[in-house]
Amino acid sequence: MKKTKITHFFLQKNKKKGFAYFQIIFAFYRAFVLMLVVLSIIMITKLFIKVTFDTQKAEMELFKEQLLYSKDGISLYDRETQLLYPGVIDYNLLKNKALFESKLLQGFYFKDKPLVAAKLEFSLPTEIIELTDPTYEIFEPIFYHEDYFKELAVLANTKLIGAGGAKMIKRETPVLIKKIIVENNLAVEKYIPAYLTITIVSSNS
Amino acid sequence: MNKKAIKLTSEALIEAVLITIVIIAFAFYISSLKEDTLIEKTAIIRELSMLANTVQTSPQDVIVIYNKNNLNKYHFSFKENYVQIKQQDYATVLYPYYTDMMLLMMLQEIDKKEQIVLSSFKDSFVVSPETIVGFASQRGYSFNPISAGGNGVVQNNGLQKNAQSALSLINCPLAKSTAALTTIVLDAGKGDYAAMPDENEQEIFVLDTGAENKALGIKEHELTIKTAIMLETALRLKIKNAFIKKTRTQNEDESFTYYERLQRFSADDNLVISIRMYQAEENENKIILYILSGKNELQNQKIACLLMNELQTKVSGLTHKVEIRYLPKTDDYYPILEKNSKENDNLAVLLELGNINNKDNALYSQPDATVDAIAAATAAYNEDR
Repeated sequence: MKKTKITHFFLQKNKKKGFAYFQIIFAFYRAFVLMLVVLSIIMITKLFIKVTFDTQKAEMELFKEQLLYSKDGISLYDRETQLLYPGVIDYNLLKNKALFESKLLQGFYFKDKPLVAAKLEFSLPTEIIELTDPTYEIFEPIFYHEDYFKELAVLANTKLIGAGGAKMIKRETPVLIKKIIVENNLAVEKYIPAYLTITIVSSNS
Repeated sequence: MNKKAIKLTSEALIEAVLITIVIIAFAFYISSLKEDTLIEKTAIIRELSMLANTVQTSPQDVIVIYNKNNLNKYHFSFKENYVQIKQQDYATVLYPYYTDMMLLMMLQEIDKKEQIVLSSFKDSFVVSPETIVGFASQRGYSFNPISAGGNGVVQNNGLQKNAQSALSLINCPLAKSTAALTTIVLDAGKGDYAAMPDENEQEIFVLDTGAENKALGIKEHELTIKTAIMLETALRLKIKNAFIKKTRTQNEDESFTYYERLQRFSADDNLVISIRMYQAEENENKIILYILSGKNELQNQKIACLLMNELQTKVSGLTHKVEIRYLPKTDDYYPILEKNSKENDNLAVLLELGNINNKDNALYSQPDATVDAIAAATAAYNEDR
């Protein structure tokens, strides 16, 4: 019977066992290098191909600007003259959380799940927080999609990445709160300087 | 060649073939990406979504022309808060954008055009394939767009249709009603006297009858007061604790002028409903609700929206959807709404209840349904506190 010689280098038997083991280990090494080369080709090519678009951060930053500078955002807007007063907030609106929030829901209306949710916190600068100062007031935070914000804020704080997570940005900006007060039987416009902290969250999915 | 050399060569060849296969497969993948339009569509809708959001927020008039390569391959629509791209044999790709419900929307479908124009002006948001710089209208906003060339009104039936359907996007404000309606004022339009010189230059008082349909023998001032009387009864039944009053009766004399009408409103009123009609071509039958921007705008929008829904449901024979518009300053009833909405801090809405030239108009052919709709909406507003 004719003997068949196993010639493949993986299975080649050698009288010298040590040399055979070396060949097997070397074969794995070669396979590893081969995979590395193939993966490198794939990665380098993919580097030049854009198949996904991540606009999440841009959308959040844009929404912050739109809240401040939109005619139906948080700043005062005169429809007659088409004049917007950026950063000037109506005191009466600020004290009426329900009305303020419904205004935002109407101004930025999403039929289904919104792209973003936001929280607006107004605080007075420390130099005017004095017990004797009658202007000192605490304002309730205003939400845009409150429930959704709270849900996403938890996810954002976990810093989870991927579709199940969420991202959060926090921006602070100085604003003026316009309040009409009565002094000597005259209505006087008063502008209270304040800080507005806008927190915006957005789902990764 | 010895055996070892052959073996090494064959191994190197196998590896080379493997790498070549991978490279070819990848080349095919890249080639398929080039053919696939999904990525391009995704990029376009995201850009359009952000653009639509930004254009709507602009405090002043703005026109943005979006023209990219390959736009003419697709069909675009901006329905129901989604930018949608359709392409034959492919699934629709969509992405959400927000709408500002304070604005009037005219969202045209754009089919295989070179550009998309997004514009915002005079409290309206327009998406169209051509540049629109305004609306042709004598009163408020109509949906006859004026092209950028200024060569008159663009005739496009599809545009009209879209404009009308887009109005249904205005949803009722979510805000609760601010206070109970304790005093409701019904202002029957026209029927006041104006001093005019006669042939001998003597001052005489002439009755303003408003719009008139000679064929049917009906006049605006008669229909409005008749409706106000019916509405007074209906509201008394629906809102028990409210005081209902009218600014004029059927028997006014020459002392009832426009100025006198203005004096009959007071700061104690809660809600003013002004009833009017308009005159246009016979085949048109619309109902338009006017409110003022600025003070009390949100609450005015809410009551107008409730009225819109009720009138839309109960009044038949309308050729257009019920519309809500901002009353322009040029309107002769602007001072009435201004006095109530801004000075007296009341809610005020002006109802143009049909075209007098159309026999199916709300006040002439179906006054009961019209009155029922207004009373129901007013009661709904009063209850939603």
